[in-house]
Amino acid sequence: MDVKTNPFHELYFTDSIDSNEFVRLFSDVLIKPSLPLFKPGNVVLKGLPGSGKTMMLNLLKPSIRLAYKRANITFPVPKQFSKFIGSGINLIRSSISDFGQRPIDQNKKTDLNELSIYFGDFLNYWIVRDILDSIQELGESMSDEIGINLSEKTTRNFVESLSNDDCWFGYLEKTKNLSELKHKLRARTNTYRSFLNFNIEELPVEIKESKTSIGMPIINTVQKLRESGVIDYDVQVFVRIDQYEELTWLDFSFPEMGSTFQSAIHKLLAMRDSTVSFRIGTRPFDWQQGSQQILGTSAQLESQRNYIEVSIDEVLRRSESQVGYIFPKFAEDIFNRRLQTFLPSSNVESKPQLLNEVFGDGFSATEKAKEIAKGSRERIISARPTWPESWTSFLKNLANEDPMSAKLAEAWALQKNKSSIMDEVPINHPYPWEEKKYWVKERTDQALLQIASRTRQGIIWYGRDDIFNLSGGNILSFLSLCQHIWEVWMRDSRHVKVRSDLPELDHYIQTLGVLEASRKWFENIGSASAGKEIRLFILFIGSLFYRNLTDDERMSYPGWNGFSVVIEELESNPKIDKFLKDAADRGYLVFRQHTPKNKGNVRSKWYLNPILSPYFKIPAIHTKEPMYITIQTLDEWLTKSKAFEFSTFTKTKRSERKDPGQQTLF
Amino acid sequence: MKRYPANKWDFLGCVATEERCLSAYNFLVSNNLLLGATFYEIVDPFETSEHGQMRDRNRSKLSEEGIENINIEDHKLLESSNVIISSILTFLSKSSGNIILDISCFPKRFFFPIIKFILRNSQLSNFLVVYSGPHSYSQDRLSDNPQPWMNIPTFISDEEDGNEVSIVGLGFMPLGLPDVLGTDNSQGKRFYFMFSFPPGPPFTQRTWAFIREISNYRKIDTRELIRVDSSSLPEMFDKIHALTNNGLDKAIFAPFGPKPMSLAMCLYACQSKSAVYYTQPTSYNPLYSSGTSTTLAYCIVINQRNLYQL
Repeated sequence: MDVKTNPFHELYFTDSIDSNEFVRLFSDVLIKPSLPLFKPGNVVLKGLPGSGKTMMLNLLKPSIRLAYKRANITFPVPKQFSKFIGSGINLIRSSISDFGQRPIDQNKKTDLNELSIYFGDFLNYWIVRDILDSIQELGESMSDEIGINLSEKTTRNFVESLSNDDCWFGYLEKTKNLSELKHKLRARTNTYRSFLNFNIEELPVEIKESKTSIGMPIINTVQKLRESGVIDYDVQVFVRIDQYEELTWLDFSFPEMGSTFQSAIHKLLAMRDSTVSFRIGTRPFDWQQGSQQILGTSAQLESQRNYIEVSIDEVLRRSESQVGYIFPKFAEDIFNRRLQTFLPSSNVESKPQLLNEVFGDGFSATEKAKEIAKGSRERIISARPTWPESWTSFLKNLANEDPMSAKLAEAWALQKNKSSIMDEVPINHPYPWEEKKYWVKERTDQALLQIASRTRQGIIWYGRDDIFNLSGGNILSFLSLCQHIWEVWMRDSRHVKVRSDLPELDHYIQTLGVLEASRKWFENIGSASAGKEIRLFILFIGSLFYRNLTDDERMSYPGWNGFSVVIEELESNPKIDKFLKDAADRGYLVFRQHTPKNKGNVRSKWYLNPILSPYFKIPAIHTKEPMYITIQTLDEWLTKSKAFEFSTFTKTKRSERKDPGQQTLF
Repeated sequence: MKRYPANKWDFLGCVATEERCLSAYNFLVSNNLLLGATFYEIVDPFETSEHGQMRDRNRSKLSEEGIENINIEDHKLLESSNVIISSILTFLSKSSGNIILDISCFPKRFFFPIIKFILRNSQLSNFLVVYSGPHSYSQDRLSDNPQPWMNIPTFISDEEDGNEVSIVGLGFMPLGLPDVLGTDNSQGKRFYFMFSFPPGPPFTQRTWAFIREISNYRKIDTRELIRVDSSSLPEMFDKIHALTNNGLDKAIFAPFGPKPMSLAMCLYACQSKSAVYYTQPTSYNPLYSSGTSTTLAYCIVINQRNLYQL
């Protein structure tokens, strides 16, 4: 095996559009739950960064389609849904987001309504050209499979009919052929780009006087493509709108500009015309928090009526019953493909349980405890002077034999109404706490954390299940963990001579790799938009959760690695609400609906992304009840952590002792 | 300064949180070389009262020790390009044609279009760009909260076709760049990474950390690392010229490196009409740097002759 190759080196490979690699690395596990993407109708595809949504949207691209054909690999979309043309626009890269950077008329104030008309006009021209590019690209080698006919007669009919259509207000009149049509379409968007970047003095009059209505030219183009026979009637046309959510940055240039442009996009979805279907990839809360207002109306988009929502996160999330949990299959498939592609000599095709083979089953909690507390195990017990000698002696003996059981025993005796056990020391297994299966299960991770804390050792992260728990249903987290673990293995000189087969990833290697991945994730938080404030908050609550779990010797609160807040309270404070949702949208916090222990207000619970758990030495799994807090406490955490400079309640800065820091010499 | 053809200059700078923002200005004032000065005070979308206090401190110094003909304009980091360009056109309309631009504390979003419009000005006689390096940078993160990968205002190419040579300046904070290298069909493209050499500690470690970070997303071949003296503007400009096959190949730039390196990219992009992309941070460390080391001056236009032409 090539010991110098880390098959997980490029994290984003499956998200990239390098078509030849894509076909080898793409996993079709998500196709079935994302099938609406390939059916007529508008779709909003929701997913966190790294969830695989770009990967799914990439399947719509002609270059990917052609790469499958070249590689002679069956296109993963079911045949009955594979007659489609994919096209799209990237709202940032196309420069459409530059509208508003320069007034169309220098003597007039910025008029958002007018700007949104120009925005729509640019969008129309760009998308129509992209549809034609896609048809030409696919028509060269896939005309029969998709249903494309680019004969001279069909294209001539199409160009003639389209260029005379009223929707263009005469701009495309007298266009002779497809090449000229595309040239005119491109010239118009280029003129816009030149103007918006101050390369020409004025927008030409012929553009100002032929502004099109958003969406209409797109629909008319596709209709005429069908009528003229360029594409068959059953060929679907899908249009991707990329980086929709980044438009909100424009609000910093001019208030409400970004949201106005978003409402123009909504208008496309609101047309409810089955000729063309739009696809928008977005983060879950970004979409939910937006107004979804439709430009020029007071109406809003409605799910099911104007579009269908597909949530990749929900597809990959583990329910309590684990029914329909497909993430392990997805991860296993991706892992397999990476190794097949980059380490062909590893012969992984013949290994159905590859993840198990590489990462192993891991340790049981008891084994982990013994491994963590290798020497002087008695240290894990904090004996109190008031305890009977017999109980203290029992615990210390038990710690040497089974540190996990001893730690649980210590907590058991400290719990309410259970102290009598100290006077009646049990003699034989199973001890009372060992018989309480769920009590033990809920406290195992907290016990491990406390054992590690008392012995000043780290927690062990080892085995397939730990890797899945830390991945939290996110494929980027999973790949990141694999990347760092593999990296550690490659650095490890102990196995250099025997690197002929799959790696042996013992618990030292896996733990170290996991810690490196976790640290990297934490350090990278600032690289996201609003990441600085999120990082400060995560640092605060991560440290708080660690203290919660280590200081709780009774183990009464094993679920205090998360917090729960009343939704109504949260939504009454838009700044905090937005902050938490932004952090969740960027994948640093995890949000869950919370069914509280007592009937009352509806709550939401929040945890760190599991991959951050090793950095803060806290459990990755979520058990029992999280901390119940008020919005005031949350506000206090935000100001204490300096994520917010001012309290949202008092509007005053937290008073604290000034640290003068390093003084200058002069 | 005596060797330059002009005796008096119009100065354009940025009053920021850092001490170095006034170094070049103070030198020019003390040598009685300025006709007038315009400073931009740029407020970021995400900042604390500490930012404001530190800028106020420098602003007070300006009014205490400066010249009479001084103008301080309020700007916002993400304001529309139109506001930036209107402002520079106003500055140019009042200028003597001898201009000194201090880029030490100007964000790229500002100084790139400013240089472009200064160079377009037909009344321009002499144009110097000055840069004051700090004594030291903060050991903490310098900047955060980047915008998405987008072009710097007015630096966009009409004819981008995906075959451009991508030239990336290597610096301290690769904000958002890894995502771009990983997702933007970068695997097969021609990339060059301009590496400041000799950087000297602690810059060496931070620049290598930058490379290590981005190499997680795209493998970097050692032949793609181009070592340049990041204080030598002519060397960097010529190197870019060579990397683009003497200007025959189209280029796109990603200026993440030291300011003089970004300046070389800016001058080249102005001439070649190349696109410049960046992930503009929207939050800066108020203690970004301390002190001033040396101030470098680069002649761009002398006696109406642009020294950086293709």
